[in-house]
Amino acid sequence: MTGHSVLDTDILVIGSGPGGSVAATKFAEAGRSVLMVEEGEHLPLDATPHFSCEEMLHKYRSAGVGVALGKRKLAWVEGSCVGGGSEVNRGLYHRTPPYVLERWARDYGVVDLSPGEMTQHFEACEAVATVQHMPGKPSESSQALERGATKKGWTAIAAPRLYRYDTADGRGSKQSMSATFVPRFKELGGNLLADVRIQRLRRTNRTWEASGVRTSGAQKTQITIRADTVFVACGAVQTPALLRRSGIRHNVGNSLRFHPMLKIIAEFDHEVNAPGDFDPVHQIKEFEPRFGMGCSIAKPPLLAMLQAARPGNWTSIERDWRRMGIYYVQTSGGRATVRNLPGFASPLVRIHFTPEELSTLADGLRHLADVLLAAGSVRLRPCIAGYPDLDRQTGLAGLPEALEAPDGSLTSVHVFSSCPMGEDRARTATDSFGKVHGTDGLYICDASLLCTPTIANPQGTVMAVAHRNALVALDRKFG
Amino acid sequence: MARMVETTVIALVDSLIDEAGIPATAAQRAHAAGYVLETIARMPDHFGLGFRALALLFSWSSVARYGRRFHLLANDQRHEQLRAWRGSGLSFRRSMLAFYDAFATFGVYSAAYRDTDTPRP
Repeated sequence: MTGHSVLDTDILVIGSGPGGSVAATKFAEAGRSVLMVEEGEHLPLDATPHFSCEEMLHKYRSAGVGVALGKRKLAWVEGSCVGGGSEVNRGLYHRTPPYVLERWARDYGVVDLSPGEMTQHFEACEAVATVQHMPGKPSESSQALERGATKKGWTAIAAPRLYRYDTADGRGSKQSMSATFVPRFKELGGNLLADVRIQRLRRTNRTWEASGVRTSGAQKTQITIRADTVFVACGAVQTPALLRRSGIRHNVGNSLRFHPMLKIIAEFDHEVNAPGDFDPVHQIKEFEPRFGMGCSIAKPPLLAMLQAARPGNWTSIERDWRRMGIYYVQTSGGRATVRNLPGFASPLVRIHFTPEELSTLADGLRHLADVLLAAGSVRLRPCIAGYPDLDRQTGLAGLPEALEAPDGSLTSVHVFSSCPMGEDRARTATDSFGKVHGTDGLYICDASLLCTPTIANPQGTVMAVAHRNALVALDRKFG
Repeated sequence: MARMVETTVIALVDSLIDEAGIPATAAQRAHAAGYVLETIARMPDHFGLGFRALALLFSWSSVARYGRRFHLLANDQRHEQLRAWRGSGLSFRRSMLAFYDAFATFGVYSAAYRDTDTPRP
């Protein structure tokens, strides 16, 4: 470690994902001095191919290795670069389902959060980060899921994406934070520092001091940032870890939630998966909020990884990958805690599932298999070691009533709820607008605030809640 | 110590690729091993410590049976040890191999299928 730099700013935003970028931009628009720091690298959106090794190493936290420990482990991934998760996700977009907002108001005492009140915030974010439906036909793998749902009489939709389709052939540009809010923030005079990890917050003489490390190549420099107001937006795992390291623990890191996901590789008798296909967009909504279903990108490396160690994998994928699609079912089960370990930088996450939650996952898997067979799949490969292949002859026989998943079967790409907001202090870490209980000038503005899983893709909710909370903080002069 | 871990991981990834019957080139194998090593370097530090310790345990556990560390074994001996750990009653052994299976597979297929990385829509 060489050197020590000290910076001053009115407002410090820690984290540049959808929550941090939206809030920082609102503060810059209001003419405030804002510094946004990001632990990860600042890379162009197209710096690495999507779902590649390079992307995993440079844009994901911990190279994509996140494991919640417990009797049933869960592996999750998070973005860690300027733009956060918006850089690596598929940008599928939903406004928060009204029943989710109503539940947060009812169970956590969140005020001013009705669907009507949130509309202006969704619209404001969508004016900067464009949300559009694909103009042409989605991939065949996506359409197959829709056909299966139609045969079963289930509700399915083609989800819009944070994407701007520019031309008649459907090409265009992804509307990640690095392509939308971050440039706007900088144009407005906001300052952005990448490669800065904040390790601790300290309150002295009515000022917050954020201390950490800045990395530049092999060189590491100590950094201290002094700010009147701090917004923590490090994501639902790192935000509680930072707050707990800083001695702030009330309802912090006790209620982390995921969208646990199981996958099936479905083989068809015709091509469903071709290089250059549009991202799949269909989702089955029939059974939400219990579980939802959808279709993933199915490049050969992902197909192979999901069935690693399966005999004959190479030959099978080489011969058949264009006839294979990856489909998922996701629930909202499992509750986890985030704790720091003495001597280690990374927090420990522990998760627990109830028997009912494991049954719901198993039921969801059966429904997913059912709809894929209805869609015309000739063979299903559940991505759970020890589970049998299924086809029209076997039907769903062989799928257990409760999930019996070994390590690596349960995954998630959505994390939230580790520091819920609301007026019920017994259940929440912040007030209804992200101000941390019992502190001055300290706010949370990321997915940690969402009281429960959103059921739908959460990025739209994170952005709109950050927009709402930033406006309230400005209106209240951060008091 | 770091060199010992690296040697073991390279040999382990190579053996997993052989075991899976993947006709990978030397460059593709090197890409996969490099990717796995980089992943271990970047994973949460408490896991990283455990993985390095497990790599050493894996390497030395073949000494009792074969008299040599893993990377010095013949191919059939390596595959025998992989089978033993995969079928072990100790869950950490199975979990470790599940990790290497997944990440080595992703690494070698990414190298082999690089041409399917067409521009995304």
